[in-house]
Amino acid sequence: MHALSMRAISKRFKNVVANDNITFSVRTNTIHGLVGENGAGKSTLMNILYGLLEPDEGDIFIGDRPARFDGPKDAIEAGIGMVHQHFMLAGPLTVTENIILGSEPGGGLFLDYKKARAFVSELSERYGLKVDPDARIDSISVGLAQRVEILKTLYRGARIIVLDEPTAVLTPQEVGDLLKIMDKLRKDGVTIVFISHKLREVKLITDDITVIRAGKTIGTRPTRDVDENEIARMMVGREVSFKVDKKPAAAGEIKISVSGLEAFNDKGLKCLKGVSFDIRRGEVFAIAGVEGNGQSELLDVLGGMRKPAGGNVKLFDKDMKATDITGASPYRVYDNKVAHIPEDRHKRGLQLKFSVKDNLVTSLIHKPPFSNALGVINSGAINSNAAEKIETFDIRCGSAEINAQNLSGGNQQKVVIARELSKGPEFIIIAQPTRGVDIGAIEFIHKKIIDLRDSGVAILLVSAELSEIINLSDRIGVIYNGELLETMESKDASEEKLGLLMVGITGKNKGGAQAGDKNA
Amino acid sequence: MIKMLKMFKSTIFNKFNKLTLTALLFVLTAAVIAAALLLGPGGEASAQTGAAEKILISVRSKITAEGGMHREVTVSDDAKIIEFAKNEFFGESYPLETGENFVAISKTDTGLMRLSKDFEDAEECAGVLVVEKDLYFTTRMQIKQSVPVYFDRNLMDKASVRFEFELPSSVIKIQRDKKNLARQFGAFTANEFALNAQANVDLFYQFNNYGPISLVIMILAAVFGAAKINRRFDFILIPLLAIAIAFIFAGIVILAIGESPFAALGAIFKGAFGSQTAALNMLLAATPLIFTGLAVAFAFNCGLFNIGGESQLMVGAFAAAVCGYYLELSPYIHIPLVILAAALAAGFFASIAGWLKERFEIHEVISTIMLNYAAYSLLGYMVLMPCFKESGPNPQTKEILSSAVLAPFFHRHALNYGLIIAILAAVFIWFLLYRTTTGFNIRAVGLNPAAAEYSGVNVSKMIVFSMFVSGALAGLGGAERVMGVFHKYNSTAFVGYGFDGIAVALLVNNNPIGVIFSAALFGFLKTGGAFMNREIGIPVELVIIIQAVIIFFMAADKIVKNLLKLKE
Ligand SMILES: Nc1ncnc2c1ncn2[C@@H]1O[C@H](COP(=O)(O)OP(=O)(O)OP(=O)(O)O)[C@@H](O)[C@H]1O
Ligand SMILES: [Mg+2]
Repeated sequence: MHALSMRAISKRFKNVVANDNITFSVRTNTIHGLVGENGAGKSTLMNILYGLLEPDEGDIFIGDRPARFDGPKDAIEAGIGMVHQHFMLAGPLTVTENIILGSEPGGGLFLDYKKARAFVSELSERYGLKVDPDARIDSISVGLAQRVEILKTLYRGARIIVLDEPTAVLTPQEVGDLLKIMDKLRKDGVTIVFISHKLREVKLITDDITVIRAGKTIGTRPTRDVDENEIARMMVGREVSFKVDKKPAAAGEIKISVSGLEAFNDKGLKCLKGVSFDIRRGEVFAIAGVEGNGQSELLDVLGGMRKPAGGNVKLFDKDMKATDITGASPYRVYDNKVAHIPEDRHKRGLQLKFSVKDNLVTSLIHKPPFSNALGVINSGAINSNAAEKIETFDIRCGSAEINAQNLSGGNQQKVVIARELSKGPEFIIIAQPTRGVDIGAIEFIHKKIIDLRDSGVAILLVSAELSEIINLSDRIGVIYNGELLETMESKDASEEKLGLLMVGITGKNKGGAQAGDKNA
Repeated sequence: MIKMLKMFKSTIFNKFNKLTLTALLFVLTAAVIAAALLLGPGGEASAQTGAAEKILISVRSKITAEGGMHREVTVSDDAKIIEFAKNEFFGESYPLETGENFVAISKTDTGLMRLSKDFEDAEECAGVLVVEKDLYFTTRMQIKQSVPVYFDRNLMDKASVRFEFELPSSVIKIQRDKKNLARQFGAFTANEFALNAQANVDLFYQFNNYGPISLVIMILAAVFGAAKINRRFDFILIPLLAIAIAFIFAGIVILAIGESPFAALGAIFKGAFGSQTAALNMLLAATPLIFTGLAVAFAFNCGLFNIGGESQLMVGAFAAAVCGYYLELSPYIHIPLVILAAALAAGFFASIAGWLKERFEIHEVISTIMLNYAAYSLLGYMVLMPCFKESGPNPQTKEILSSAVLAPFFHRHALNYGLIIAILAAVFIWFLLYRTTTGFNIRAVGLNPAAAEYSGVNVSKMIVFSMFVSGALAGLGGAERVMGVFHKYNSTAFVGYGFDGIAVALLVNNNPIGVIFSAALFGFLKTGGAFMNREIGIPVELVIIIQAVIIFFMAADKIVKNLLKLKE
């Protein structure tokens, strides 16, 4: 018995065939993994299912009844819920308000908030989706926001839930929680479509897996019959290595020196309490930590987007002449050969409504060859730059003219990386470089980072993926509650050791520190 | 019920190719409207306003060098309508007793004349008082008796005054014979222009009153077809559809008040395209809207909603009036200088809002509204200061020197080189926004300030700069009005341009080039609406309804897209 099946679905955009005759069926009451490279057409397929896009061809069946959705409203009526790759919540409203938005109880003019709240509490109790119903959305963590999204679908009576890359932005802890919740939902009779680039999770939780590549179905297999390597091969069409090859670092002179850095976060709390470290040319220094322990603010300060409250940041040139960039504007920071791959590409990294080619030159636009001394833009240079970057970074966008918002998540990330690397930096801040990026592209990005290191660039890496940190870095510092607890050589690090440090348990005070959850 | 509708909709959409369907629908609508228009009143078979025979009569007077007046009195062999009288007591006091029922004629912004009393209702009229020079006046006035016309002394040495009256048949009878008509005109006006205008009107009538509308609608249908094929035309398609919907909606409203929508629409078109003067009036009305529209559009590209165009234009106008009067220079220096002064004054005035935003995070909507009020009061006070105020009862500044006047294109019509400046400004703004790094960064700030900041843009600087440019553009609009049309600053004459600019910009999604066309549309609605009001008595507010509906559908472009099934 199939909960849903999509038959011979095709969807074309201007220059791209996003879905090419895809057939996709999901058995009732299972978790179905949908995997494929960036831009393979996963989100497109699911948007069609949710009524957001209209297929050019093909039919949708819910149960065994044909369905035609003119919009999400119809899809919701048919029992389909979707949690998007990028959340769609209203920041200033409370959790309860967000959940009931669009289908408020009570009818008539007035909102029965109490009833709604009680219902939300009950729902979250039942599925172990713990959230404070009265918290404001913009004050809760990503993991919790995601729970709210899921609750929202359940509240509307969804029996089929699509989760589009739900784990990309979660901490390992949160991922564990989410998988438990999914399991619970399955037990409760809900059918789930799960999209993820993290094959380990897919293997762990799903019953069946469908692989699509370049808009075509490659196949559907029971999960127990395939292993990660095989899935990867189906996705990419070749062998993928999960290991990073790297020579030991040939670290040179100090490039950047941070000492005693202090800063406040948006809530006015001190989030950096005297952070100090140096990074040499040709080495990768990684910072590990549970999200919310100050790493985001640290990157903001270094990138010039947050004013520090104390301490200083110095850059050194080849002759060890220091330039103080403490509290400098981003513009000045970049002028000192610094590049920055920000952790939130939608908020910072991209102008979603600019074309791909324009996004490849934001922050470079005022320099030749992209503009002349009078500030007149040279579109020829922008076009040829785009062509080159799209080629080398394998950005799959169909055309450089389309808006960045129409790119698949992973390809958006490649745009940011391509641009930042083209600044020819001597020091680069890299945050979550492979968030939402497919395994083939991860391999590529990792290789780029190592190449960069080998060419003598100083690199600061922040990532939620411990394996990525251990694989890429030469030295690792662990940040906890605004302080760098311990710095170690990567070869001495293990996921377990880092895991303990990240919750504040150092060798000195074993078990002493409370493993405070910074996310809540 | 909803289910049924849905089924109906989906079967229709499944059966037909969407392209043919839309094309068909629109051709159908076009055909229906066109047919209705052809049968509507206003054609030969018109019975609606049977009383009025639309005959144009022109009377011309010359003021002689000695200050005397050369009168031309009679119009035709069988009717005597207007009598020109020379009055010895020109100046501050007019030869009219208080309480006397007279009509003062002065120019309004659109170049149309404003009547101090509703002439059409005036049972008795003691006289026509002319207080402006270079009048050119067309209206359908119900003149029931001969009236004297008085001239202000200031006009003695200036150009001539000409009226063209359309008279109801009860007052005058003239055969509707074109040749005859031309002969009559020839008798007292040698002015080619007047004849041209007349010829245009005739042509229009021959073509049938409503021909142009059906033509326009046919073109619309064609555009829809094209847009369906290529999504690149969306940007033009959506405003067009919004306009079409607005007209249909207006038609329904007119129907509801018991008038003929076809006659009304016909009148709007005639008022804006019916003659050369009408077309010039339309452009004249559009000119300041190009400036204020650009002001709003530019700020919008930086994510700023500038509601202060109204006062910024006034500040620019005042600056132009003052510099136009006080500086004595050759026109080649004087004109650019006055323009510059207006732009700078308004620009700095608007920058206050930008500064308040970047420094204290005060939202620009609030600050620009407040600045509007501040400017109203301040300018209202300044205009009364003896150093600026002209003598006389009106709150207005002294007239600018002729060296600061923007030359008109045509004799007797205020349309001036300001229009060229407006178009150049639009092109320049387009270039600035889309072809320079500054524009690139401004747009980046407008779309996502966090990302712009991250990419190294000085967001605060961009905000202040954008408000400056925005204000300067509105100020240029004020300069055009003063230097080309009014020649002085007046507390009440500059109202509305700024707010209309918001609508103008919204209609074209803040595209600078689009602003030209959208301003033309609003100019069209304004002049056409005023004409419609005179012609068939439907209130001008109808035009405001049309504007509102257009804006509504532009703002809610989802609705329009859905109507077109433009969902991807
Ligand atoms: N609105 C659009 N206009 C043009 N192209 C689009 C649009 N939406 C998607 N695409 C293109 O369709 C292709 C499929 O995109 P989709 O978002 O479905 O990929 P995905 O499999 O979800 O990838 P990712 O894992 O990176 O999220 C991409 O090449 C993308 O650029
Ligand atoms: Mg996706």
